[in-house]
Amino acid sequence: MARYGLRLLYGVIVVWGAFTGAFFLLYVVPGDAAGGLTAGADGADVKQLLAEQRELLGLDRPVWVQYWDALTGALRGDFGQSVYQRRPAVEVYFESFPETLKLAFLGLLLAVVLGVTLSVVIELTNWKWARELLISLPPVAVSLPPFLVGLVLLQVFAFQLHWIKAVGDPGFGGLLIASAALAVAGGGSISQLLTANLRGALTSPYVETARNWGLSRFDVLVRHALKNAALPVITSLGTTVGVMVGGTVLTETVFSRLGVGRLVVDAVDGRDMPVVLVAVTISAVIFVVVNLVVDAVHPLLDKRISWDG
Amino acid sequence: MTILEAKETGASAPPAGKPRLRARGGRAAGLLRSPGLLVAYLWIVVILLAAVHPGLFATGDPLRQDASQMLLAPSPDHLFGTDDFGRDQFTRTAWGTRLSLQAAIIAVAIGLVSGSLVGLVAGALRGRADSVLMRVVDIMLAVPSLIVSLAIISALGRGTLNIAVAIGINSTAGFARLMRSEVLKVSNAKYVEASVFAGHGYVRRLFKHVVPNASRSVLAAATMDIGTAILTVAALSFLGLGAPPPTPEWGLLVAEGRTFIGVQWWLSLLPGLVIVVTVLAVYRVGRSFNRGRTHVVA
Repeated sequence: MARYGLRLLYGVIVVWGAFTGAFFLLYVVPGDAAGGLTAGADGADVKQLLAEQRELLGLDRPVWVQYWDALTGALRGDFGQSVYQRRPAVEVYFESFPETLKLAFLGLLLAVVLGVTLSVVIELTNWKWARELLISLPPVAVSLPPFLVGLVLLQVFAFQLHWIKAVGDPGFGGLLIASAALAVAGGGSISQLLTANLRGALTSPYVETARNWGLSRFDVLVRHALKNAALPVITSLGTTVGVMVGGTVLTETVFSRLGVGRLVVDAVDGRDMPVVLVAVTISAVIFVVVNLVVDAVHPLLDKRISWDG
Repeated sequence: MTILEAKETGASAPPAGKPRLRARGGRAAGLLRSPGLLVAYLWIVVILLAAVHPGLFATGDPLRQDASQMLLAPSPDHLFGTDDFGRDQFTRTAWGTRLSLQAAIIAVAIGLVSGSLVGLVAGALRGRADSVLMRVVDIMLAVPSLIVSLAIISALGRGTLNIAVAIGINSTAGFARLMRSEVLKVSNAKYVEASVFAGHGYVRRLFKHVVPNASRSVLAAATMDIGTAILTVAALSFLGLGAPPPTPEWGLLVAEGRTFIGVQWWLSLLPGLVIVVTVLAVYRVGRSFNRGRTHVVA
């Protein structure tokens, strides 16, 4: 368990590093939110207006003071006020968070289902040409830009079939189709990895033994080979989640859904530092938690790995 | 964006005897035996030609507007149709190749060089420097690359080359991790040990044996990364962070056509198809370089 504690510490360091990195990256960027707020003004009083706004937002203080304030505030869960919306950044962020969480979660689920199903079907297919065709699918899937998949689905389901609304469909249908757009690339990458692992597993002695017991092909594949081949896939889910977070921005843009993705793009654009910091910190926390869960689950699936060893 | 390194499987490792001869005969014969790889190479040649000399494929001017030719469907005159300003979409796609490809290659070059340096330093020094550098790499991998890219682009300003810089900085972490693991692997190889016993110094050993051999894997991975970079450049341009309209650029073309996706779907989807085929070709060629290793491009 001691090693797991160390992992936990690393996790905290990663989150802190992400927060700090984002803070200073945005700090070195020329121009700040005060510039954005006074963008419309002109004439001689711009400079004074700018200075007033900077003082109001606390942007005139030394960078270390600002950083310390931001960090200690973040530890209390207070990231400050969103510059444009004039209310807590955390509130702004978590308003659109459920929308994105639903999208990313359903997307991940669909990606796993698609990827695993495809790999199993590939292994069970006997016809050579059908098998070749199926094997060529995952590489195609990872080459598809998520925004293009989204546009194709939008064209078909909104404009041809009229199943969903083209702009921000609020129902489950809209959510499902948006997450399908997100799932294609993830499913392809899961299937690529899983197919390669399955091939390795199917030539192993233990699979030979299972076959000699007289188990059916499906049983050998799903109950024996798949269980072992799935381990690296589970490890890779941590990365997949990161990709999903990026993918949601594109999917939300294509389907005109208001989620974290759009919020962050606008916040970075307008230098709304508190909102950006919330977004970066939460993303890093999600990444760390997913990887910790993966690490914790690993020994349960593979008895050879243990945290005490 | 990320390159994960998986275990080398025993089955795909080259056999011990006559490795050189096998590799040579294998590559030429393999090209003939796999038509897919041949097509991929041909497509890449076409794309490179279009990038260097777009006039070969489309003689027209990508910016020329024509009010009498607005939103036409694809036809022999206008292979990809025309947009809402009457510009020929095929011409724009052909002329957009240069910017898109340039950005992808610059991005990979930045990531490759900076990542390899970090990985080499970490792998060569080991100890404390190694763990500090790898923690930094972990942190870089923990923040979604899109957010980092957004912040970098807002620092540098919009533009396709700035997108390339952002992607390059983002892919540094992946290359660093790969380079480090390769350096560690090569350092333990028999021929490096032999070099120790031959009395060669540390620096000579590093640059004569470790660096060239470790770079081979990293370069092979970089070919795959060009495909990923093309996708990311297109994605960021699609979000409006790249060159401003009316510059022809692949991602931007898809974004501009988006308004007409309901009826004139070809405006978005045909340039999109060019992106997909290009990425497929790059991945196919990349995979042939990466035989015997498993790199997962996520």
